[in-house]
Amino acid sequence: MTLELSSLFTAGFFYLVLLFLVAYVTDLGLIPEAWVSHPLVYTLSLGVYATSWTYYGSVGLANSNGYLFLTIYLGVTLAFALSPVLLRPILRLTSEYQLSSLADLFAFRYRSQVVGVLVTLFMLIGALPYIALQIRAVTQSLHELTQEAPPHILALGFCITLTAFAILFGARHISPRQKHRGLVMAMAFESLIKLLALLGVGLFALFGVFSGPEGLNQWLSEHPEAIQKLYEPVGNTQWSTLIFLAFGAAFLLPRQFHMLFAENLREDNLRVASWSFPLYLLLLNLPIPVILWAGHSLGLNTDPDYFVLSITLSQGHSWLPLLTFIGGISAASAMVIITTLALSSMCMNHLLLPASYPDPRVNLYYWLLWGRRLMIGLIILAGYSFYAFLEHRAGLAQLGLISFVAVAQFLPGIIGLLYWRRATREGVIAGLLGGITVWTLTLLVPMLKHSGFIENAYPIAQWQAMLGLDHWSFATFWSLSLNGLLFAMVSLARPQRSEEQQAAASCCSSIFIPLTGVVAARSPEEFKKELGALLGKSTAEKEVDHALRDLDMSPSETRPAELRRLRERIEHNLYGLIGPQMSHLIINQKLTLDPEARTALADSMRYVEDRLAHSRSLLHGLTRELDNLQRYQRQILEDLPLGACALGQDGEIIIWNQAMEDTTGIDAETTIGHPLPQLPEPWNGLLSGFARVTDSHSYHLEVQFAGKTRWFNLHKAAIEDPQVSTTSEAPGMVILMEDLTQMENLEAELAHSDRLASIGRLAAGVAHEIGNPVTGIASIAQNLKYEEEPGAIEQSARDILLQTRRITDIVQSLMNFSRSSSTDRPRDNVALHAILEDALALVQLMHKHDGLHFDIDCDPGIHLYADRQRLSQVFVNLLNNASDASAKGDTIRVQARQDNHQINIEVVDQGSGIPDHFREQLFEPFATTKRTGKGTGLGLALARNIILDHNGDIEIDSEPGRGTRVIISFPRPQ
Amino acid sequence: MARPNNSDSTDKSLVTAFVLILFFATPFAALWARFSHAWYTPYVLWLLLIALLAMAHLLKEKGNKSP
Repeated sequence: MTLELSSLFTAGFFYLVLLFLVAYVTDLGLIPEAWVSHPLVYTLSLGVYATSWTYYGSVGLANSNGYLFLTIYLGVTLAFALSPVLLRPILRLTSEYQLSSLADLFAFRYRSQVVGVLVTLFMLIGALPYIALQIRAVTQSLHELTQEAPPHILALGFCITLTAFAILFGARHISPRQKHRGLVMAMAFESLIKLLALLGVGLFALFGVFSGPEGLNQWLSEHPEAIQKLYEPVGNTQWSTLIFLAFGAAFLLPRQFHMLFAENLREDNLRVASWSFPLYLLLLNLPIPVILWAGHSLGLNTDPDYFVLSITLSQGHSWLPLLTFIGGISAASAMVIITTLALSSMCMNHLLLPASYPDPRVNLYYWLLWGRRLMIGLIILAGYSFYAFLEHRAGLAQLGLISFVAVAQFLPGIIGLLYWRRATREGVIAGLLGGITVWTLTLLVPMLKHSGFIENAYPIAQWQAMLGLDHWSFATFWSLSLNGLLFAMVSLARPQRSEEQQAAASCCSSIFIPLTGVVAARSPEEFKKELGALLGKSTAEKEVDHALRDLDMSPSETRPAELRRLRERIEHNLYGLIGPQMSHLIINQKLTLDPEARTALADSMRYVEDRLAHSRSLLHGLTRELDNLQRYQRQILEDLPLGACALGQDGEIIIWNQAMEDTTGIDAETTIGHPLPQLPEPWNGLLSGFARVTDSHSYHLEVQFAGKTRWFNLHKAAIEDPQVSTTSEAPGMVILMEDLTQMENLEAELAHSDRLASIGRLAAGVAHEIGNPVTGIASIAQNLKYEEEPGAIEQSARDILLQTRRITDIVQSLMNFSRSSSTDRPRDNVALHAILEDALALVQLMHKHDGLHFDIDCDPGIHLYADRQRLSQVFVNLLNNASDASAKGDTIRVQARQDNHQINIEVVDQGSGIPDHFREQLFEPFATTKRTGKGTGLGLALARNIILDHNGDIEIDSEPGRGTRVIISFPRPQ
Repeated sequence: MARPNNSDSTDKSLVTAFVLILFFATPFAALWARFSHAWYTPYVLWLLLIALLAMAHLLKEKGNKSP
């Protein structure tokens, strides 16, 4: 049975339209994002690895070499098993530095345009036979189904359709920042079709040809050589070589690199793919032996490469051959599209851009977009030309394996990139040239000879026979041996440049190099102006704005540390646009660094912390513990209830903790990197002034902020940096800011309460004391109405006057007390006895009912040069304390003596005494042993201040349970 | 049981890679590549290795979700 060419053309056409539709609908956002970024879609999109070589060629390879075809997928499984140490580090690099191809990655690490060019050219040479293979598989499948030679125009039409698809859905965006979701979805769809088609053919072979598993077992028992032939190649040299080649191809082939890294939407998808993609490959390969045996069972005499088509066709199945043909188109088209996209990106960044950089007046984005589209067309055209020349001259597996050996030449370079910091650009160039030469001599030239392009070649078969190696093992062994040897020897022989060292440190993720140098351009505006000269004005503006958005940075940013970060971000963004080397050159040329300027410590800290935050999962052992410790210490500083601000040697702010943010209302983002004088007032005056003075502590500083008065204690200490202590640079500094405002407010409230309480007690005493004479006056006045004798009336008047004098004395004492808190009052020569009497009168008012006895022993001739009211308050407070501590019936004695030099006064009570633990804080404000509401602890502090103000001294001698003796001394007035 | 971390997952993957090399790329392969064995033996071994890889991933995911 055969199929009509027209029906196959129609089926193929509608399938490609469906593919366009899937991509288009996804790009429109009609498919939920959760589906598009699902790990299953990512896994299926990696199925681009399985090309028409897998789809058709695996059966052919199984026929000739048994289970050797499995090596192509076991190698991939090995690569994915090593994903944590191989694929994930590459993914991190490509996503962090926006590298979209292997050539970008090599050029970034080895800082060489030559390396980028070499990788691109070699990829191109290695991939063209592979693209040709896909075109050939499609035309050959048409031939198998129609039994007639398909016209060349069909192959050309297939290529044009793929070109259109690649341009429309694979080259929509230039920057790798924007992923091609439609393309990924379409590739996943193609992989699903391939799998369903191949499983469908497998099931058809099992149930349609063998009538079920029993039939297959029956056939196998009748043909034991079938299984024997499958197992024959297992373990031979070719077996191991192909596992190794497939291992490299799994992530180095342009299409694999593109789908694995450039179109990866989430890092976690790779973790799922590490097991789900090998599972997909297993399912894809499961039907291969059954299809092969079905072909043999049916006695097909067609090429075993196309048994997948032949067995369904020979049985006269109606729709399965069409589905199988569609599966073949899926396999071929996916490979061609993705390989072309990957190669076009490499060719743009490493061939076209360095050769003809566009005029800055041209819009760079359009130039790159259309340049890439042109490249896509040219690459597919080159693949078609290769197909036209090599048509029917080599097997599918041969063409595929040539590409595998080609990409294996990048293995030494990629291992060096990830794990060998000493590797140099000269080493990788030498290695690649050596490997390419051997690959050309051992594989390419023999293939060209086989195709009839070369008449005479060297006797390579004899050399292989001498070593006992097969064709592939011979080429792989010698090319990689020479490659690796040259790579290592030349790298060790040549010194490494500083930029290579920096790139090596970036690639070896456990090592961080902080940013150094200060950008000459002083603002984002200057960045735009400088870059505009090479990128064009609009492109420069867009890139700078984009980088500002990425970093959440203000366009008015001027801090050197932040501008250094901005420069790095722009460079990384440009990596994805014009390639790492070109970007590096432009940035170095236009955003020059001042090598003499020392990098701010804040910059280094921020960079290291950023890198650590991104790479925490990579840290192990001691480095991880150190990182945890550093984070813990940082958190302590952040959560400290005191404001902490650290300054670097240049005076820039390095640390601004949470308490500092809360107190000042200025967040850390806007202060770190700035010098103190750039802080707004009043913080600039407060902190800058304190940083300048030599005192390490400053107490009770009053600041007006937001219409309120605030008080602070400031403390500072120098931070000696061991790395710069030998230089003349000033050390850094840490400033602690203690906010006293709340305490001050509380003290004021308590003082007010204490005053109110005192007034209350006084008022009660006063009321009682005044009440007695008033009652007396009332009684005398009552009796006076009935007195007629002049003598009695006169006596009554004298009694009334006496009582009113008592009231006047009480009121006067009260007024003296109320005025005693004011300072700077005039002093006078006053009698101590009178002061003591005044104080006693007041205290007795407050403690009238306590049953206390007061004994004042004071020579009336003792005089002091003092403020009477204030000194009166001292004794009021001391007598009051003594009264509070005394029990009913106790006596409180006041003794005053004077000698030639000083006057000593002792206030002695028999009360409860002062507890030992309290003596240290006796004179502190608010320190009290009294019950709540009885006293605020201000009395003794106030008394001490007044005594000190009179150049006196106060001491307290107390014993718990035995009473207290307060000894006051004043200098005797001259 | 210790909470699985990234390092645990890496170790499990590396062990699986080692087992894969042992099974398929060393003379050990001769043990399973016997004609007397069923034709699907390599597929079963391959599936076993994939199961190990999946377990390494799923255990890590479970560890990450635990409080």
